[in-house]
Amino acid sequence: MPIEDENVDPIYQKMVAAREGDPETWGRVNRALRDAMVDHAVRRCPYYRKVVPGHGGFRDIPMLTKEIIQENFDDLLAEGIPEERRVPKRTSGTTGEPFAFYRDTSQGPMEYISAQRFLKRSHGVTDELSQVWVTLRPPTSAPDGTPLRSRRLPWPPRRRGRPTLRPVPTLRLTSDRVRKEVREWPGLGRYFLYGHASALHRIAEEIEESALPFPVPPASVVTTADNLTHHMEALLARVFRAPIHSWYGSHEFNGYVAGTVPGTRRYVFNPLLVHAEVLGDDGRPARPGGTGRLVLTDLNNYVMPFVRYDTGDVAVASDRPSGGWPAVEEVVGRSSEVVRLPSGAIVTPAALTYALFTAGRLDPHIRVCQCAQTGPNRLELRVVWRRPPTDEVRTRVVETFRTATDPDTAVSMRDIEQVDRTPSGKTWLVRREIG
Amino acid sequence: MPIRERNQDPILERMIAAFEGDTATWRRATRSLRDAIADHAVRAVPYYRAVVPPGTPFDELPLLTKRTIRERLVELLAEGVPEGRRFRDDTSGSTGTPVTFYRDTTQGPLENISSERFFRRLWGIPPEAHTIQLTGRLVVPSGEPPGRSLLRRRGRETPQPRSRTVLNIHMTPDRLGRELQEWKDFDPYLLLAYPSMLTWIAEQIEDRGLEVPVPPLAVVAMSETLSPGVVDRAARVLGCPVHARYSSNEFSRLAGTLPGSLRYAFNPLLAYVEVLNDDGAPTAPGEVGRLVLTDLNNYVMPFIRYDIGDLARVSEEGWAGGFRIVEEIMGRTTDVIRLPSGRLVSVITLHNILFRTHHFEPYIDAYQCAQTAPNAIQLRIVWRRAPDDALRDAVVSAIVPFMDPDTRVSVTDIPQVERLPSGKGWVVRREF
Repeated sequence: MPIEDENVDPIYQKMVAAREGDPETWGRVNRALRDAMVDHAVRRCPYYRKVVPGHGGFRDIPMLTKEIIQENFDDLLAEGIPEERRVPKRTSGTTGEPFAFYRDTSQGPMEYISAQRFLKRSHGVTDELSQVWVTLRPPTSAPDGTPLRSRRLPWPPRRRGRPTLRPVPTLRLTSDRVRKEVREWPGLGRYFLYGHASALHRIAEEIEESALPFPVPPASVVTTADNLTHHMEALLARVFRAPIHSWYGSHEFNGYVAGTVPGTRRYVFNPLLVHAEVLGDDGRPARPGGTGRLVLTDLNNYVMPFVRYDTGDVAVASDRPSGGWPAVEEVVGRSSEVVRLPSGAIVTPAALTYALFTAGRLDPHIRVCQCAQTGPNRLELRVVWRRPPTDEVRTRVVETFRTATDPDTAVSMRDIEQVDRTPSGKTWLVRREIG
Repeated sequence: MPIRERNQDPILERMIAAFEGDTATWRRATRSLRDAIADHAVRAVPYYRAVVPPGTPFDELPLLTKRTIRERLVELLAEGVPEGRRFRDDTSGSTGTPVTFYRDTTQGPLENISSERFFRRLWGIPPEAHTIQLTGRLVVPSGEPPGRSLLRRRGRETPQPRSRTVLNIHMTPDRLGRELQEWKDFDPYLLLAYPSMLTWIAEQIEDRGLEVPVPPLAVVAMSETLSPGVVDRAARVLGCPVHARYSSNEFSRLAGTLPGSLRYAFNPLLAYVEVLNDDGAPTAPGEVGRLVLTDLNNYVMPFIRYDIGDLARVSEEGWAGGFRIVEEIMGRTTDVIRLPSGRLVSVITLHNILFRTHHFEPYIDAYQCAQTAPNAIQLRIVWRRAPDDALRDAVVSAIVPFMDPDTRVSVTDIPQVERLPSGKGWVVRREF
């Protein structure tokens, strides 16, 4: 779909040209930028000088992991780049202990402005739309990097001459707060919803269960941060009566490196920001339709190059790019959110929610749930019930849950009051809890 | 040479990485960007759809000429690109009738800001330096759209450097004296000027003993061909290094000279560079050919393999990182004379004959060389002092050995050099 825009941002224009262009041509551009970053890394970073083979290709470069970053922090910093360009950052801790790293100040215009603008245009979010931003803590800056002047500003802060930005903190999402928010959103005029998938799901659920009036739907809903399952997506679409999109990013790469193709769960990766790979356990590219680790190379961080960085996410490989934007069929979730049974079978958030809600139709009983692997072949389903369940419902839930596991997997169930969250405020659906 | 800079301009960072990086890697990057704009052109531009069969390799695409642009302007505009992005401009007319074309407003930040920043860093000019620009055009073509603010540093409160523009036609001897005094208020500053204006300024300063209270940090020559003689003289009189940038209305700031030389480095993020012989094949290192450029960023009206009308000599060295090096830009094809034998006579050839092999500087103030017939050369000279026939004969004798054996060489006295309607000067041209 051509994206017409009269703005004058040269990086954005290249993104548009790439989206509309020939995949092979733009694949070459992407690989050329990748090789240029590797060239920079090998020349400037002691770590890469040490580990990049002299005559090998890009695929011979070892993956960069969080552990390697922690152990080789100083050796990953590029020599000769002024220290003023270092932006200290920390990961959210979703996949383990938070760790520190640096981004490059020069990335800002590309990622905050151009890339976000591109995703907004792709997803029908025009400049005049106000934004409801459902996030862990009240922000100190807008998504485009514009600083909000003070936390003491009237709530919500209003950017002069711009549409309203209304932050909604997820930690205060009580029923009363949801009611208040929903009541006030029509006053924003035309708006879109942006935020954690789990938090948006929570709001949608409250609206539906309490039959709250929702007269003014958003122009668009954009989820980010935690995994959006098919089940959650269906609820969001039903309640918000708007197209549901998702943006992919991380603290290490920023929030706009990929977005879903409208109407699908396929993510396309911005070829001017990252080089994306989906690698199997053997380190080779996964076949189309196969699941593997999502490995990204940042094309613009000249301060601390991230080359072949294991994001900790699992994706389904694709051979269907969108113009020059390479795609993955789906981001399944964090690798820590995929558990592997002794048979080799995996249980993913998507598989779990499909079994319970799509096939099992257990929505009327289960509010939310989490699945923990407590032994090699033992899974525990932790459930927040909508209402106290009968024995018959419990049995049905366990039997339905078992359809997502191996036949010999030991399955148990436990009632919980609320779901567990990571320190960053994200929720999880499936995780391994054995050493 | 590492270029260190505290800035937040991602395009400049890439330019620096390209300059310092591996040649093969960045050659691939430039070729891939070239293919991307060609892909866009073949998909979106009616002219290219009509003349380029699918699958045509890049080096078989037809050269784009000014004549083609003049005759097929509308067909050269890309479909689907909003009209608001079109920036209409004309060539200066140095090579004939001005030609109307369109640039892409998105190019402004890339070429006018990032590229300028890059070359200034290369030349050691700090960001806080002010600019004195002496120009022939009433309106300096900016091509800088509102989007340039995207690349500015956020929250930066430091005062912006000032600039002062003076039209060449206003630069009388008296005005120059006043200007030199006023320029000290711009310290530190960079002086941008045509080579012909630099020559005039140097001459005025030397002849009249004018004081230069605060010399510029550097001089950057633009628009006209820069000869070694102008470099030497301006550097001596103004007491600063002299650099040159290569630009045109069609492309803006594509290349600059490497410090201490007249070798031009072409920015690999802005243009793909070819130097082709009369058969359309790449010239060998050391040979002269037509400079053919592909703009990597004009998505409004793609310039693919554009014959810009200049002649260049490919460098033996080839590259500085990813920057293509052109040993010498010999000026417009109209600034070079080709004799019947095929021998080329350029401003640099003449300079070397008159001022390096021989030493006519005390006698010759300025000159122009016109080819008045296929094998006839007329040297038009502004003398420093009244010449006699012996001096004129000496000049002819100096020139003759470098021409064809039967070339007729004559000398004519003129009171001042002729200028083009655009205000630019010329040194060598064909007049038949």
